[in-house]
Amino acid sequence: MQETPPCARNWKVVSGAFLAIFVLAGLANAQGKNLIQSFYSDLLASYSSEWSPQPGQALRGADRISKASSEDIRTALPAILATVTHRDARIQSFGALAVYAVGERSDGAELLKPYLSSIATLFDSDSRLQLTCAAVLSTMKPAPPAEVVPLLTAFVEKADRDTRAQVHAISALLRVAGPRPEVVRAITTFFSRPVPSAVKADALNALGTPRATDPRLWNIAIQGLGDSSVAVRMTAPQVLRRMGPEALQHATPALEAVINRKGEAAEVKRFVREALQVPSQSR
Amino acid sequence: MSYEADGPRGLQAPFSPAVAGKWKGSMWHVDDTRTSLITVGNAGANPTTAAMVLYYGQNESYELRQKLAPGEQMWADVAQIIRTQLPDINGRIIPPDTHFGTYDLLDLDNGSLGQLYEGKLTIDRKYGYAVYGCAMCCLERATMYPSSIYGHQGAKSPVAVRVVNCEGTIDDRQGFSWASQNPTIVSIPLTGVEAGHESPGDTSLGAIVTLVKQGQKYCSPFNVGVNGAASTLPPQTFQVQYASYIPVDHIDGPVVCTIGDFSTPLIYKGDAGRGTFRTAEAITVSVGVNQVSGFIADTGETRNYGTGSPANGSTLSGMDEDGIQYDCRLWNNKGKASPAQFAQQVTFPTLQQAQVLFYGESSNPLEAPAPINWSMRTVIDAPPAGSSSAYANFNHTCYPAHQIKVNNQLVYLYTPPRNDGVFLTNCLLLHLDKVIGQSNTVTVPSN
Repeated sequence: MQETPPCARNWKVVSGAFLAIFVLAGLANAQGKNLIQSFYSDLLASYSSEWSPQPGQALRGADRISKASSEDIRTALPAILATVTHRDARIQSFGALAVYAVGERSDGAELLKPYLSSIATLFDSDSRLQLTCAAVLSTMKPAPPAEVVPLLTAFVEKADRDTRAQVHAISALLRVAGPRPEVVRAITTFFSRPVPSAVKADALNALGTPRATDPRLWNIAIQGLGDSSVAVRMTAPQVLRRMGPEALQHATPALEAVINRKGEAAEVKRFVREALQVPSQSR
Repeated sequence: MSYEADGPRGLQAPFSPAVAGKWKGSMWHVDDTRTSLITVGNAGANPTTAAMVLYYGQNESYELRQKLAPGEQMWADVAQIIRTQLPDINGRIIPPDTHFGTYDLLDLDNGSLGQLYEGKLTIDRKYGYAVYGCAMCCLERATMYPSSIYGHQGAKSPVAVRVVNCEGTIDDRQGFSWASQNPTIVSIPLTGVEAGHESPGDTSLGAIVTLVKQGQKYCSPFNVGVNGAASTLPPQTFQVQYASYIPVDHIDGPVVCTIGDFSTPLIYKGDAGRGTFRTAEAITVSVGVNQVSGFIADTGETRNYGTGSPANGSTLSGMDEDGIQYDCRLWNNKGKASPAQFAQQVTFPTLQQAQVLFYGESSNPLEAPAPINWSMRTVIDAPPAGSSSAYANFNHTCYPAHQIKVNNQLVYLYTPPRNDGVFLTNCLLLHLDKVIGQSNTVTVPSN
């Protein structure tokens, strides 16, 4: 059966929206103004040490982006990138949300590609911005360009960055690049460092994809079955299940050991049983 | 009484035949024709502390204290005190232009059963007349205090005997021989102090207290009984529930599902109309007995769907559940986040109030972390009589919806205005626009 392309169902809506944007953009251009550029330029111009953001202000800027023309976005991007690289993290938040909104557009990857290195400077900022940066680089539409891979692997390998943001990057790397050697190396480096159990559970979840076909990644999940944290032990069998039949087969002895483990939490055993019941040939 | 042989100066030295713990003195005078010498003695068998308080002017006072051995007396020459500006125990002096006032004598160690006797010498150059004070043994009245007690099962209530003397001065004492008409409802030890609310019902408490009354020579003690009502109310129990949920049928996921060269957007199942949730905490508290039970922390199942969903064109339904995982078509994947990091803290600042703090964070287990977080304090006021009420102090991410219920009564509800990716990034990645404040107080049912 032939699938209907997912974007086709929204075509009428999208074409209607384009018409409206075209009219609005024409009006703005007629006045010699680019509203998005103005928003971020004005933000930078009005910045002072006493400045503080208003509730919803970052959203008001980003919301204009989805409706704007590609040309208006290109014109506005230098101003947006100036907020991304600003010294004040609050201003950077505006820029980070804006580039995320650009990346959400169907032409997002193309628009952002010239600025990937500038966007990656957010990896040197606070944890929220690191997390958002990982999201921007990994979710831009229609697909992140290959140039994001070295930026993400370099970030994951750093020992002094926010571990949650690094988990986000791991998830993106497996999705964008699959288990390439440099990706597996970055992931094993990450798991070789001590991380809080809650983050470790999230990191395991990030490995839970059929694209994690490298046995070294399976072994990381298998080690999670013996972790001291219930949250991690509960996550590990789910992750193995999501990795696919080969990973499950590889992990079967370790999973059976959990079933026989005295004092193990019922919730953990439930997920292990669920994983073991998956037929090895099914998808 | 004696007089100068060659002049009009006379001396009176009247001593009262009674002993008491408090004497309300009459007037003292210091002027050209009169001066007063006031004395107080210890008629008891043990040492005691006597206080002599001189009142003058509008509301001014001057106090002397002295430890008196049995039989010992304390003297005060009022004229000399004024003339030499002698400071009292508080460092105060009587101004030189003061000419009259009143006085009290007090037995500080033995209260109303004190053993002081009074004497006063008034040297009156004109009339040679002295007036002495009277012992304060006027009738005391006693009641149980509070006059009735009530509390929830398991609680304790303080109880005492309130004695009011003839001047209206209140003295709360414990009395003795405390007893309950029905100790299975409200119990109390013989020595009183605190009654225990054992089981629902009504009963009464009683005690004996020793008061004093004026005798012929002495203030004499007598015993009197007091009593009052005592009730035990059933404990008031409240279940506090917190939940976060996606308030629509489904939302767009941030990434695409890819198999080989095929990619499709993913959607995530929401909670609207399904009674499901993303994160939840619940606990039961019993106000009055300070009991906590039944802590529950849980997460809802996360399910995502690929191309072809929603199969009915609008909402996810059974038609989307094809049971085939990881194929990017219809139902694609599921996961369950761990609630191990969810926490609670319960305090009972008073016997009528409980405060429940829920806090934690959780991420979609099928995506990179973008944590929902919350810190929700629910304050429940449950007076023994009248209706119970609750309000919430909230601090949470601006996505998804968050709510607090107490015994199924909605106390707080936040519904996000949007469900799109930019808004979620604003709320869950950048943690901008966090929602912080206090809800209105609402009446809640009690169990």
